[in-house]
Formats: sequence, structure tokens, C-alpha cells
Amino acid sequence: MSRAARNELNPLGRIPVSAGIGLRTRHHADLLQSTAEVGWLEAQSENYFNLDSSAGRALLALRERYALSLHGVGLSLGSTDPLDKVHIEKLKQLIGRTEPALVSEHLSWGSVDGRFVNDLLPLPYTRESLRHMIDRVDQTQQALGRTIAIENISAYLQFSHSEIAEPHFLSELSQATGCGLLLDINNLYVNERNHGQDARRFIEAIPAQAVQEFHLAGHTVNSFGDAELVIDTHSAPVCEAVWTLYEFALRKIGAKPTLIEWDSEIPALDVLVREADKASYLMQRHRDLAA
Amino acid sequence: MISLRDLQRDMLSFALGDRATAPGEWIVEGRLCADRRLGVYRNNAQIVFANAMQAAYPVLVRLSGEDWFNQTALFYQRMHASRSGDLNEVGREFADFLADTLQGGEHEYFVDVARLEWAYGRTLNQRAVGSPDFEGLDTITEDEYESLCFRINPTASLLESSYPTFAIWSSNQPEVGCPPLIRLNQGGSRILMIRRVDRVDVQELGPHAFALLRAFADGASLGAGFRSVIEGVGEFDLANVLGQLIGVNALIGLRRSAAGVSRVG
Repeated sequence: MSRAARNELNPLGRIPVSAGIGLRTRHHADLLQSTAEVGWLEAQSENYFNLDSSAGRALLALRERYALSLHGVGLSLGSTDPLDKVHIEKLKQLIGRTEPALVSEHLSWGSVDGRFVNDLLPLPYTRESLRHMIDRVDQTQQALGRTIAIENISAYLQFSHSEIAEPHFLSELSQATGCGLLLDINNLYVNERNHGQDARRFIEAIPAQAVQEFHLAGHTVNSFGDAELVIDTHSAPVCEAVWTLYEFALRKIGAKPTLIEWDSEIPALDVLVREADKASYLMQRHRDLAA
Repeated sequence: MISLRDLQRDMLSFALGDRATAPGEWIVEGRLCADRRLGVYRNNAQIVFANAMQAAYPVLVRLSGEDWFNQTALFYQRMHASRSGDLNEVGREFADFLADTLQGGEHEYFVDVARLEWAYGRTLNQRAVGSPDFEGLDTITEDEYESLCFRINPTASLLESSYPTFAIWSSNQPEVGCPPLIRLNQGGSRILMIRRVDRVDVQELGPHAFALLRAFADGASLGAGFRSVIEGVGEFDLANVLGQLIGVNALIGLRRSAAGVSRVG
């Protein structure tokens, strides 16, 4: 796809360069009734495929007040099965009704032979996987009629036959397809703890202009004897080390729309808003220092 | 080097429990073995699946207890793994699975509760229809009554159970603190579900109203439906039953040929 054609695919503008929060059912009523100072909302696409549901109606009402990003977890982009046309069509319908500024998915797979684990499994970073992902992102963007952003995931294993460093894999994917990148800072931290993958070098290796959004989230640490594995649970506040890494990303990449994700053990709305306020404060401080 | 497809098949079959040992030859182990690392994904797959099942079948969870439900959900996952990236699709065949498992046993009534809960979720995901429109009803002559057909609310679902499924379901809603004792032999249920703008109405119908609505759903005209109910159930007051079905929004207008309605039992 030509660069001009890619630009035509993305006519819906941008998410404000501010802090947003992940939209969760628990907060629908609070957000509808309050004037919470949240820059924008990110909805998990699959939760809103049916806009006639009560959750769907809440999303449409909130869309009147907030900029929206749609974040998918179920497309299984990296799967070697054919792309799920029903899923794509549902996503396309949702995009048509909600006009999100950003649509994103993951550098992952979660199904094969028609069976799904409904989780984000890692790909080996091989030439074969890269060709496959380029083809899949191209197909998806063509089907949706717009570009998408691809997020780096937390991984609990690495493959011995990987031959491309992950940031280079993402860079080549973005360059070949015109897709944006969604950089999850917590996932970088988790992978650094789990595999010794240098998060700062990752950030430095990513093309800054391709990054459209940052994600921040909490995690948990599971111990197995004398070994540990950090799990990306989205069930806790953003930890200090991730905030520090976020500041590093602000310096290297610049301020980008930043999302606070919290998906389990979900706290009251004001807790999320305080986390978003902290991200906003760091973004502003970065701007002040850069000025 | 293993192909991407073969690698995905190996990993997924471990994550879904088809194979006991992880395909470790392609995984960097470090301080944790491949089983442990891939075990995270197996664990996640089970938790995500069980949570989706609990969301679809909250009354069954309350009736059976979380331990039994989760264990049964995982047996079900082994046979009916998720077929979609949309978790709202998880659990579609659960009632049939329970029917195979529980038939003839003391918990056989779970099957119909599961059918009701799945139908409830499907109905909840439909758009409510507008106001009924019976314009022209007053111009219909007596000669036309025989061939008159009704438009049925497209969100309507019917479920018939030999157990008191409606009483069981309504007594086990979150707002009901301590469910009353329900005897399983106290009689069956004929249930109608309809999407309203802000809710799903779940209600029991009498035998005549249920049979008449089902006859209309099967394409019967007013005359044919009336006769089939008399034959199958017994004499009844047609005007009264029609008024009831219009009142609950099951019949929403007139048409020249009858339309279908979902049957879930």
C-alpha cells in the first residue's frame, strides 16, 4: 500500500495528547454522571460489538463527551488461521458507529484451527512471522479502511529460533504496512524482568514517529521457588519503575496519548483518574523541560 | 526450524490441555522450565474461559457453587474450546453439554436453567423494537379473522421446561438474598423473554397463551392457531389471551404471513 493510500485510510484525526483511562463497565454510570477530567477513553472493542446492549448504549453516550480509542484483544492477528472475517466485520461496524480516533490490536496470536485461548500469545520473531504479520496487518487495514496501531505484548517465554530483535520486528512491520505502534511501557518492564530484554534500548530502537500511544498498567510478581515471573495482570497501580521508564520514553519519543489500563480488581473511578493525572503531570513536565 | 503453524498448534494444544508436556524444544527455558512458562498461558486460558462462563451463567453459578461450576466449565472447555475472539460467544453449547452430562440425575434441571440464561444473554444483546402498531385492526371484518396473521416481536424467545425453571431463575437473582425453597416437582414452566429498551422481560405464560404464541410463531393464522390450542390444550377465551400477548409486547402488529420466534426449549 502506498503512503498516500495509507494516509487516506486514516481520516479520523487524533486522540488528544493527554492521559486517558480504559473504559470498564464498572465505571459507566460514574462517567455518565460525573464530569471527571479524563482526556479520552479507550474501550476494549469486543466488549462493545453489540451497541444495542446496555454497555453499548453507555459507550455511545460517552462517545458524545470523550475522544475514543478502540483496543482489540480478540483478532488473533498473528494466527496462521485465515483472518476472522466475522470479527473484522463486527469491528468495522463498531468503528462506523463510534468513529474512534485510534484502533489498535496486538503483536500476538491466540487461536489456531479455529480454537481460541482468548489470550495474547507471543510470536517467534522470525522472517516467516514478519512476512505473516505484514500480510495480516495489510489485510486488516484494507478490510477496515483505515490504519491500526500494533501493541508490544508481555511475554512469559521466548523462542530459541527468534532471529529479529522485537523493536526491529515492530519497526519493519510499521514501515511495511504504515501501521502505527502502541508502546506498552509496563509490557517492556515485564519483559525486562522476565527475559532481561533491555527496555531502554527497546525504546531507543523504536521509530518515534510511528508511536501513536503509550500504555501504562500494573502487574504482579509470581514466585516459583527461587525464580520469579512477572505477570501483566493490570490489577494494580503503575509501579515506580514503570513511571521512570515512562519518563524515559517521553524524553526519547515525546509526549503521546497515554492510557491507564486497569482490568482486574478494578478500583473506584477516582483512583484511575489520579493515575491519569500523574501521567498528565509527567507529560506536562516533559513539555516544560523541552521548551 | 519449526513452522509458525506447527508451533502454534503445539502451543495451543498444551494451553488447552490436549497434551500434557510443553513443546519445550523451541522455548528458551532459563530459570523456569517450558512447562512452567507455557503453564501461564494454560492457566490464563482456563481463568478467562471460566470467567466468561460465569458471566454467561450467573444463576447456575449460584445454584451449583463456584467450585462445581468452574470444574464443569473446564471439562466443557476441553470439548468445546472457544471458537471466537469475542468472549461473548463462549458457552453457546453449554446447555447441550449439561444435558449429556446430567440427564436423568438430580441436577438435570440445570440444563433448562442454562438454556434460559443463554437465551437471556442473547435477548439482552438485541435491540428493542418500537411501539406495537395495530393500525387497521378496526377495519378488519369478521370474514378476515380466520386468515389474520400477527407480527411477533423479533426479540421474543420461548422456553418450555418440565421443571419450575422460571421460579428457580427468578429466585436466584442477585437482589434475592435467600432463595425460597422450590420443589422440582411443583410443575413446569412456559417462559417468554422479550427485549425492552432498558431490560429483558422474563415472564411465565399460561398454557393457552404459550401454545397460541408458539402456533403463531410456527406460521399459523389466527383461525388455525385458535383451533390448534383448543385441540392441544383445551377451551379458552381467545380475546383475553390475545389481549395478554399484545399487552406483554409479544404481538406487535398484523401481517399477511406469520414470522418466526426463537425457541430455546
